[in-house]
Amino acid sequence: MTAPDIALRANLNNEDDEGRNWALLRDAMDPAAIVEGAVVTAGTERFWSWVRIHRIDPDGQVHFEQLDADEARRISVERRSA
Amino acid sequence: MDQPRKKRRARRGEPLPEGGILVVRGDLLDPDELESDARDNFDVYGFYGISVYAEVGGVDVDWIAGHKLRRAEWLVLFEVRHVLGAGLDLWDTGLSPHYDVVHADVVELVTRLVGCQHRLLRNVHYEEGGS
Repeated sequence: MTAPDIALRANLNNEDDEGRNWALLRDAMDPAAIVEGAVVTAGTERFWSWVRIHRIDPDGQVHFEQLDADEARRISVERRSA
Repeated sequence: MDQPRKKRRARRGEPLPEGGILVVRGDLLDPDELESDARDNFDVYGFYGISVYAEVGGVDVDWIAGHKLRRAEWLVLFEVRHVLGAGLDLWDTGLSPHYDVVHADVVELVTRLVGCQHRLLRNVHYEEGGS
């Protein structure tokens, strides 16, 4: 499978103090799409994952957790139908 | 406009891992990406740091590869002694087994880390991001 467009440029080695991955909102393709609960792609073309946005801090740090594709699909459907 | 204050990074206060312990970073070593990551880390936490994982607390490279880095097709393995021998620091940041490789100068950080003796390994637990 070819990597999709990456919504949030991130390095998936990075972990915050709670063990979640993190990136910066300034590195989002569309910062308006990066909101709590959103399911997006994060990483780089070589090293990426579906993720769920957990929190966005006032300094622009975005905290997220990695998802399997099935989880990502299910959560996206639930969010659309909510 | 006021700039947000830097966050205080949590340190675990553990002793430095022994020299033969392996340190792992997911993906290929790309100097530009390493520098960008270190600068991002500075913007949030106030120090230049590059995230890695170490074989501490009962986990080994195989566990790290399958749990922390399964989306990385490639892994870079260093030994603690080579990282420290290059004049870099290893900070026990966040939750075990996460660490930051640290230096006060971002260019030195990247140059020294890339120059450290290391091995490149294909991740046998690799799961492509869309799976």
